[in-house]
Amino acid sequence: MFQSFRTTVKLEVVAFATINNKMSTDYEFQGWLGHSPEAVKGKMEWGAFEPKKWTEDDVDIQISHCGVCGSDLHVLSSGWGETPYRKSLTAPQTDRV
Amino acid sequence: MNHSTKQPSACCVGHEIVGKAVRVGSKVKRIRVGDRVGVGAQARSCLSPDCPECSSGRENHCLGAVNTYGSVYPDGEGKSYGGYADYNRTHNRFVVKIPEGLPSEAAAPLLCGGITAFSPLKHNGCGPGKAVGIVGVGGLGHFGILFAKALGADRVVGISRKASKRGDVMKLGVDQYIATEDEPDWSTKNRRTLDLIVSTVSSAKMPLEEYLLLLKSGGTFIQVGAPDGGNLPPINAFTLIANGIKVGGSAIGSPQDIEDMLQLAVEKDIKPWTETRSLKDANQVVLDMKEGKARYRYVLVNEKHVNSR
Repeated sequence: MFQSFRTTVKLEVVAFATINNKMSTDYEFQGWLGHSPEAVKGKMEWGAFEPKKWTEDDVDIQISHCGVCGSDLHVLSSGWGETPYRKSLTAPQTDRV
Repeated sequence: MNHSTKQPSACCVGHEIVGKAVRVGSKVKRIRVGDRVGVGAQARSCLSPDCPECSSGRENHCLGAVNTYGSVYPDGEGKSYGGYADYNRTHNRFVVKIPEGLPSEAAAPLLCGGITAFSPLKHNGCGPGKAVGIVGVGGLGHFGILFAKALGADRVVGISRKASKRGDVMKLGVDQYIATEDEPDWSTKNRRTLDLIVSTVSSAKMPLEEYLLLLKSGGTFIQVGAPDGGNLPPINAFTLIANGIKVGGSAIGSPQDIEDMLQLAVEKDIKPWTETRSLKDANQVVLDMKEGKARYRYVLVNEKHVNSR
C-alpha cells in the first residue's frame, strides 16, 4: 500500500511538471501600457511586455480581475523615470475626501 | 514569446490583482497550479534572514521593497509590470491565496486599498472598547469604516468634508458622521472622543490640528494618504504635548496582514462597494476614476479569463 501511494505521488509530480512546461509556452504577457504622462488621459496602449526573468520562486498568474487604485493614476501621469515613485512603497494614495 | 512590440520605457499599472496560478516554480510550496491567488502593491522585499523587517512580518516596510509595477528588480531580473494585463509574474512570498467564499471582484480591491486601511487598524488596537475615526471616505476610507466595524470597535466615526456624503457614509455602518466643511465647531464639539484615527486624505490643506483634537489623551493618529510631495500641515508641539498623543504612518500591509484581512472579510461577510468594468475599457475607467466618479472602487474584469477557471 505504501508503495502504491508513492507511485501515485510520483505520477502527480510528473503530471504537474508537464502542465508547467506546457503553460510556460502558450501564453504571452500583454497589457495596457503607458508610454508617457499622456497615458492618464485615456491614452494607454495595449501591447506586449517582457515580465521579470522567471525564477523557481515565482508564480505566473492568469489575471481575471484588477482593482483601480488612485496610485495607478499618479504613476501614469508622472514621467517615466527609471523607477517611478521609488521613494514610496505603495506610491501615493490619492483618495478624495 | 514575441516581444517585438515591447517599449522599454512602458509601464503597466494595477496592483490589486486576482487570477489563477498557471505556472508555479519548483521551490514554491504554498501554491499550486489552478489556485485562485492575488497580488497587492508589493512584489518583493529583500527576504534576507538578517533583515529586521522581513524576519518579523513587516516586509511592507523593508528597505529593499519592490513595487508591483514600475519598479526594477535587483540582480538584473527585469522590471515589474502590474495588473491591467493578461498575466502577471510575482515571487510567491507576495502571492496570497484568495479564500473560498470571497468573490474575486471583492477580493481585488482589498489587496491594496483594503490592506492600507486594515493594517493600521489591526496594529493600533482597533477592537472592542475603542472609538475609531476614519478621515476621508473615498476608496481607502470606505474600507477603513468596513474593517473598523468588522474588528469590533465600539464606535466608528466617518469624517469627511461635505454633508452631502452623509447618506452614503451612514449606509457603510458608521455610528456618527462629521462633515468638516459644513459643521461649525466640529472639532471642539467632538473633542477627545476617539482612541484611534486613520487618515486617508491626501490634501496638504487638511485640518490636521483639528483632527488631532478629536483624540482622547494617549490616542493615536495614523496617516496613510500621501499628499503630493509628502507635505503635511504643521503640527503645534503643544497639541502633541498637552494631549499626550502619537502621530504615525503606515504603508499597505505584510503578506500575513493581507491573509488575516481576507479571512476577516470572509468571516464578517465584508462587501466592498465596487463597480466592475471591462478591462477593454481601461482607458475610460482611468478617466472616470480621475474625475472622482468611483463609488468607491472600480474593478477591471478580464472577461476572457473569468470563465476559464
